Amino acid sequence: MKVSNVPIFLLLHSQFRQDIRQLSFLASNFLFCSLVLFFCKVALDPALQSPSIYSGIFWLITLFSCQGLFIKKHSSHMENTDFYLLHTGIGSSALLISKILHALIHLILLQSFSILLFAVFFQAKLIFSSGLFFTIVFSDASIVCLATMLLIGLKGSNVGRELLLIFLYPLLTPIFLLAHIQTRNELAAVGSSDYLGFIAGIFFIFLSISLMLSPILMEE
Amino acid sequence: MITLDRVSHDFQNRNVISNVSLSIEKNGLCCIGANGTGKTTLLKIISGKLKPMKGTVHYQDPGYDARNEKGKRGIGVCFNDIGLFPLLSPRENLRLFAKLGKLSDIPDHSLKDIQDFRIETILDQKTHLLSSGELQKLALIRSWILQPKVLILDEPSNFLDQESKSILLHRLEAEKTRKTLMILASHDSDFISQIDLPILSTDKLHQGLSS
Repeated sequence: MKVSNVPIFLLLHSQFRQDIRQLSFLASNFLFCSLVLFFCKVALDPALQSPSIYSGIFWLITLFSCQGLFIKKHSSHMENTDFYLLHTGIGSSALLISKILHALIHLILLQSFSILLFAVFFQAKLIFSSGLFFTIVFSDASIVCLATMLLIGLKGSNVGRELLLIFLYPLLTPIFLLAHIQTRNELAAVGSSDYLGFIAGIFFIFLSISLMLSPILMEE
Repeated sequence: MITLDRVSHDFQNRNVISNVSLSIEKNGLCCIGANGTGKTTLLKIISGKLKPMKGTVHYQDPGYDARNEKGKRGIGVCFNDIGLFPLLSPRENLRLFAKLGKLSDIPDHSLKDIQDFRIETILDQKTHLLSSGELQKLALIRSWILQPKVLILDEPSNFLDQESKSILLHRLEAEKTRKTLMILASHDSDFISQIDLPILSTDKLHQGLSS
């Protein structure tokens, strides 16, 4: 199956153009930046440092954030335009790939911004861990792909959206469990002096997903 | 030519279309009928937006076969949900649809439509701030921007003032000259009566139809 890059690029461009035009997007960015900095402050308390707890909390937050994000962003908002876009002859594969890329690129851009913000506010020396990095990125990619494809398959009715939850949770549970175990091990493997980088890693992802979720929740 | 073969569709046991067989040829047809008689459902089935519960739709030319992805490009559509991006301007919306349809920019014939409908001044505003009539004009222009072989318009005269209706009628005449197969639905009998196309009354679609 041949998929042209041009329509994917055009769709991505228009989707990001719309994202940055939402006033609520800017307002919620500010709100969530403030909240995450507060959480980071709490997380850095030495008495609370436990890899297993942080890992568990992080993936639970991710699970609930993603649920709302995908139901709102890729279902109700895009449903009307999808039909008309397909009548330009672009093909459903290009539309699907553009939706997945949109969510992933959005995530990566916000992650980059968030980690920079964290480093500035806490004068943190952030240490890169390839194990944690790939665990989080691959888990995010799995969630984005699975949820997008499920929504494409189930969209069109309110029943479909409800069914998404029923299908999404069992499908994602193994991914979340593996991600939780891997994250916990990564966190436990490093010494206390290196812990800051891992905490930052966890929270910049949390911030990113929250940022993606927030404008959509504030729209209605 | 588009042929419907014993097509049936219902919504939660409410029979909207029952065993309808129909051939649409030459310039197309106008569906007219009261609310809830299945006009929109019929158009949605022909455009591929809705899959009929029973029966099949045959498209003579693969260039406008709604069952395949490339064929969809040959069908221009306009339904009540409009389907424009609210946070893009009308110019950006039309440019996006034109470029996705492999045109370099908004084509000249659409620029002329913009002038004819007198909406040049709103081209750079946000689409979600436009009036219903302005949105309808944009959706109509978008529907034929790629010069499709088949044009499916559901209630095209909705929200339009008298002058805009005349411009639309003139535009539809031009499409007829271009040999476009037009399938229209409306409850506006005055408007429909001014279009020189065969008329299909949808009042008995739920009882079955063969023509």
